[in-house]
Amino acid sequence: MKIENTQSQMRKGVLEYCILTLASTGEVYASDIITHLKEAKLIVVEGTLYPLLTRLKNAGLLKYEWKESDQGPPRKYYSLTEEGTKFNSQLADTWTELSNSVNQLTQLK
Amino acid sequence: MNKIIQINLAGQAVSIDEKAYQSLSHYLQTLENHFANTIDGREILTDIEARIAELFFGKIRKGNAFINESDVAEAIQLMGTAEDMDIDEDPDTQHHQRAANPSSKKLYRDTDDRVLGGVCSGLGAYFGMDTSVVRILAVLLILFTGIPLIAYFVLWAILPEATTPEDRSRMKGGNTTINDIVNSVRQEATDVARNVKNEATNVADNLKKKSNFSNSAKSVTSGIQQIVTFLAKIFGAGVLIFLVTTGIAFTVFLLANATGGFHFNPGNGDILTPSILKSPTLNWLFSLSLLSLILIPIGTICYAIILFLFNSALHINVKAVFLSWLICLAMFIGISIYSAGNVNINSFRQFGETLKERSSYDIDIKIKEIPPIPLTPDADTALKDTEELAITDTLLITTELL
Repeated sequence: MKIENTQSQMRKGVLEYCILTLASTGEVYASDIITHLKEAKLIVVEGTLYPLLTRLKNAGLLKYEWKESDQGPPRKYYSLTEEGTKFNSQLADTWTELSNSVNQLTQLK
Repeated sequence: MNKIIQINLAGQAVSIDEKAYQSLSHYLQTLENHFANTIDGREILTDIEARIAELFFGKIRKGNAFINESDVAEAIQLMGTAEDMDIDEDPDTQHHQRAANPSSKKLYRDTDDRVLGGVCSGLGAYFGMDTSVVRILAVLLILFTGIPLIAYFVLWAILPEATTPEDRSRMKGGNTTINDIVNSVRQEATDVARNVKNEATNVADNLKKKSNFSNSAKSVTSGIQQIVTFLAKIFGAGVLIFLVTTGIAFTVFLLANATGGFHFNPGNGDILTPSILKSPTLNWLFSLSLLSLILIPIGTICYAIILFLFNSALHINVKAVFLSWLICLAMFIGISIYSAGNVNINSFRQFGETLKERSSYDIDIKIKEIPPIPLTPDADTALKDTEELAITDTLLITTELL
């Protein structure tokens, strides 16, 4: 069993929650999300994000708007849909519970 | 010196160095192949292209006149490989999906680890064997039987090259083995069956409504058309198989006669070749090259027609086919010249003697074959020589005519 696999599995689990949380701050551009996720060491390369964004968008949790950019092609700015907001708050509850549980467990030893 | 070209990336005009363009388009192609089977693939790819265009735009704003190789490499490193982009999928389900997919394991040529065409390494990867073992086995088999040589060239021509990392993982992964042509035919059959069924329901519906007769007639015709097309394809394939078998039979016959390895016509067979090819190995190689010379073009044409008929995803590596054919031609010519050089006076003398024996034998038969001419007892000028008799005979006939 490789430690990297388990680590990446753990990160993957919370990645969607993090993206939704970042999008809940308003309209965000993909590379802004990437910057934050990279800082948090949740992803390594940008390519990882695009399939996730597309999937969350197609699931109806995210929507986007095109905005002209002076730095190249028009950009997609993502924000939460109504459904996405509900989904995100549920995930937030789950995360709080989960992190509490894990913290309690690890403090036992 | 490098050419600078203008490309359209996500709707933006970008000046890019030719080499840089090549590596960029290879990268995008790899991603496209990777996402080809997913619903979101197109959109993901467009997003990535747009992002790369933006990165390039930033470079140009900083004062770069054009995008060079290191810019592309940087962008690729930033975006990550196709495998990195699978992070949202559970590796277990991913594995199952791949295994369930009938095309999950495929034979490829591994051109990164090759001596000639990469066939042995591809086979090794497919069967999970060490490449060296496969190579040694292949060489031994070729030396002793010669058969794998043809197989090698065929595989070389048919198998696609493993270019992308996806190909490489498919080259080794999964357990399923497939026969692409068989699958393609099966697919065709199920398609036709389904379409016919659909048409039939359409016709039934239309008849039920008792309206729009022309429409239902049209459905019937298109259904029949499909069946006919499918049957025509099967028939075409049948004709091809017949042609190939006949071709092989004819070639074997030619070979048998030419090498004297098998006397189709005992007594006459070895007149064609005065036992020049004494060594069995030479005989084998000679037969093999002659066979390949004839069969490679026939086979390629048949294969191409099958591909055309069934829209198969297989392909032909024309270069490899031609190269194989050239090698066979060289082998054929080489053996011919070598053999011709080996014909010494003795074998010629032998050949001459054989011929002499044969011809005297033939003459014997001729003499025996001349029907005995009935001689009347009073013809006491009894001609002992057939020749004279013949002359007199003609004389007699002429006099009778006069």
